[in-house]
Amino acid sequence: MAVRDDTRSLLAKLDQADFAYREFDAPSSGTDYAWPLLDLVHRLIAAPSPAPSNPWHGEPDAAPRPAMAAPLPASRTLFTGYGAATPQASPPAPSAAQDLGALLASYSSKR
Amino acid sequence: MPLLIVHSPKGGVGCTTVAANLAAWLARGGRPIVAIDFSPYESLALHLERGQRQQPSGVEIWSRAQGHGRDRLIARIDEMLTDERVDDMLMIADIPSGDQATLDALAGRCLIRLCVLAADAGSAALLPSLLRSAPAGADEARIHYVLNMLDERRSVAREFHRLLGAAAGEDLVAVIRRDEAVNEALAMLMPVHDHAPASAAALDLTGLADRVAASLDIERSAQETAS
Repeated sequence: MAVRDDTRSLLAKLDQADFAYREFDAPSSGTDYAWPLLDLVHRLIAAPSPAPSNPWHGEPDAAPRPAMAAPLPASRTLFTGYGAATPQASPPAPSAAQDLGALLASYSSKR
Repeated sequence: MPLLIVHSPKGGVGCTTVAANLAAWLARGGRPIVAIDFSPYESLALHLERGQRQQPSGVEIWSRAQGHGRDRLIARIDEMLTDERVDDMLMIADIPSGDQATLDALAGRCLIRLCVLAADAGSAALLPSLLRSAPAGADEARIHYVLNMLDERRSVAREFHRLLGAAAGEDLVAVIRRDEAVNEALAMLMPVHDHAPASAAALDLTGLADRVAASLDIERSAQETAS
């Protein structure tokens, strides 16, 4: 496909053959989750509060960890269900809508 | 010998990549590994092929493609589970998506259960069902989640990461960033840490493997103390 000279020039400066997908802003839904599917899932699972000791949660931009990270102490070890006697997490509370289909129907009826 | 299983309700999310790279890195650390491929293909072996040829990696592979049936593989797992001579070893089973029978059979036998999800809308839609599928028995391993192929620049992926973190809490045990090095490593027939040791995916995969190793060591110490 032919491209304009200025586009070809820009691609050459960037050392790229084409432009990558441009991400557009997420739709604004006025809910916790902008994307309708994620908002439905969120409502379905009635997400509990994040555990404060979770070293992953809320830190998506944290710097990469060293390849040989020191083992965590037993009380905070990753797989604490195995012998370290951390109680099994309770399953999420049942939602009023029991499956994604019900929520989809609910969502569609509001459109 | 303890058993770790890697599974997903959805195909194409990187289960085999996680299983193979866990096996390779743990073996690199000196722990003998048996990697068990329940798919009818040699997909797991492909990730380790070159490493196996260049030097013994410490990973022994059992697969259905070698002619073993599912029941035979499970019987061999049962034999190893009760073999006290190989306590420092680890079995890693890669269960293909949709193979519910194998998952049901191994869920009660494993020490660690990793459920791999991709950071995309398709995996997100399955999360409610997964969270409701609590372990059947008190002795059954809890489900730990690995979020794979995360690109924080993408809005859907970013939101799913936030949602999964809130829903799974500490059971979200690893986040592996989307990285072309994973694709290139498979094309090179080698683990990611061998092909691109400084890549984001190599750091994330080896970080998960190190945590698995630490958990196994703690479990073993607890067992020795108890006995």
